[in-house]
Amino acid sequence: MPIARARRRITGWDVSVLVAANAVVVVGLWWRQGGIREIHDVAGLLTSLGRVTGLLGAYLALVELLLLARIPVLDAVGLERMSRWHRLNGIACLALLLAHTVLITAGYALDDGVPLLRETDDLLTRYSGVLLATVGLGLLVVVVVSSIVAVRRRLSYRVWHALHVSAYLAIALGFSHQLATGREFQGQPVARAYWWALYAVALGLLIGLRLALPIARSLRHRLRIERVVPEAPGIVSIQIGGVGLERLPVRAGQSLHWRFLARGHWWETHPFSLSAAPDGRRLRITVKDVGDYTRRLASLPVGTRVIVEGPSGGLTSAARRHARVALIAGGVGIAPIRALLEDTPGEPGAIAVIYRAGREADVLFRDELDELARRRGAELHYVLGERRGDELLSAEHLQALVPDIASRDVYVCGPPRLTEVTLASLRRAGVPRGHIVSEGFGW
Amino acid sequence: MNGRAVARRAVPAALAGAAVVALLANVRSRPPSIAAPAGAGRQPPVGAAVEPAVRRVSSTRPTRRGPVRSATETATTPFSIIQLRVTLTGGELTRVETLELSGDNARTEAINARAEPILREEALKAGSADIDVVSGATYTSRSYRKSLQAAIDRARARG
Repeated sequence: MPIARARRRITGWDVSVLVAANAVVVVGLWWRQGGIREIHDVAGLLTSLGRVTGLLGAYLALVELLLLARIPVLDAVGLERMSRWHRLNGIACLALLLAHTVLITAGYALDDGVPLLRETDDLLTRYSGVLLATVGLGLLVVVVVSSIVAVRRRLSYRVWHALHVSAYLAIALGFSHQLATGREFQGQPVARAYWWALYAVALGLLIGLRLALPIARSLRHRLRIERVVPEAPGIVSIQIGGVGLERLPVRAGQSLHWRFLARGHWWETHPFSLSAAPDGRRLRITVKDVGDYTRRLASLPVGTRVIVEGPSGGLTSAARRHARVALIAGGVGIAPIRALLEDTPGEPGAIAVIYRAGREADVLFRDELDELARRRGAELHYVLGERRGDELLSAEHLQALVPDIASRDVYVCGPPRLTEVTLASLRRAGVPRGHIVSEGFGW
Repeated sequence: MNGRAVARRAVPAALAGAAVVALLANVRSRPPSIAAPAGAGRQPPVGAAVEPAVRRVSSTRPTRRGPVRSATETATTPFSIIQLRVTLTGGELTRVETLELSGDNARTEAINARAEPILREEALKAGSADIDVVSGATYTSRSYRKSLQAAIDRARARG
């Protein structure tokens, strides 16, 4: 019995189309104001290209903000993919803005017949808003450089976070020179209105979805920490109670961005998957101690107010297409898989769970899983072994555990490397790409 | 007609007790495509307005500090043509006249008309072409400054 299709969601494809359409409009602004049609010399060419790279760079900076706005229709995209887009878009944005700066400076210097340094000085002191924008660009360079993996590792989260947040300031600093000096906006009320609208929409979505809505929800649902329970060495579950949680639009398998209003915690948000299906009374997350922040979570006092943003993640039962399903978890990836085991549709015998963990002691929710599996009539396979056992979760191994795996929906959640290896095994085992839903974490 | 108009305007300067050299008065009366080589070397856009859109003369600041020299320069942007005449008195910028300022459409002309008095006043205040770009008129400001600098250089060279 095939499961009825869930209602159509806005997909990554739709979003790409929307982003591309606006990019076309932005390039259109430039084309309408000359583009490269009225160029007579090299200086004109550089200046014109400088204008279009600047417009596109500014636009991508806004796209970057929207990727972070926890837009509800994007919730199925998944955090891993979202963070990849965020990274690529961020790099493209900075590259365009640097190109803009170099092209405009070189083009003007050539046109004025003065050395680059002198032109730079002229631009900074004589052009409205350019000094501010240059400070903004400097900040963006710091933001991107501090996020390069090698650099990021050497910074504490606190420092990195403070730098990263300055990107908002950087974007604001760039705004004034765009309207003041951009040829595209001179005496062009429609172009100006469009540009204002782009910024207003981005700002509105950010404030609405990351500030107003989460605060309103926290107050309405009276979200507070109810219990903090150690699950295993270095792993802790936090239970958050509230009222009317059935109206909170989060499903088993998804994650929320959590902000705990306690000293030293309130300023940062982190995404954690629900480790139990929401039951209308409480939410639960399970966190592995992977660093300073996650270690401190264990000591959060009961009664701490909680604000949630999101949800996000496509690892939900809405992705089910077939009657039978295999749920594969690696490590702490069991948290969303455990939640799914509670709520994903399936007759007894239709659900198989494969749980890959290092050692016996690392297995989480053993009792809960056994109990849930009994209740749902699900097969439960614990696959234990050290990291280097590559024959574990090979195609043959998966087929031995779940012989009909190729005709099932398959959910995979675990650390990135394990997820990658498992996806390759699934493909070799003949599971069509369209059957697989996966999410890595630890991005 | 242009030449005569300019000649009439030269009178106050002459009354200031100095000779005004209106170097390119004859060239100005020709279409801008010919006048352009005297400027930044760019060809004006095809179909650009030939008739000046704005004709304004700065307030004169007569001084008796030395020889008075004038020079005229034309600059073009992809969108407009600007022709300035400057007067230096004793080596200092005492007067800036906008002989021609035309845009290729109504919008550019509006931008030019707004920016021109600001630029002229700034130039007189600074006494040089080292002036701020007027917000919302980047191209106009840039060619105004270019033409101003070239005219000042030309007038100085006459010393």
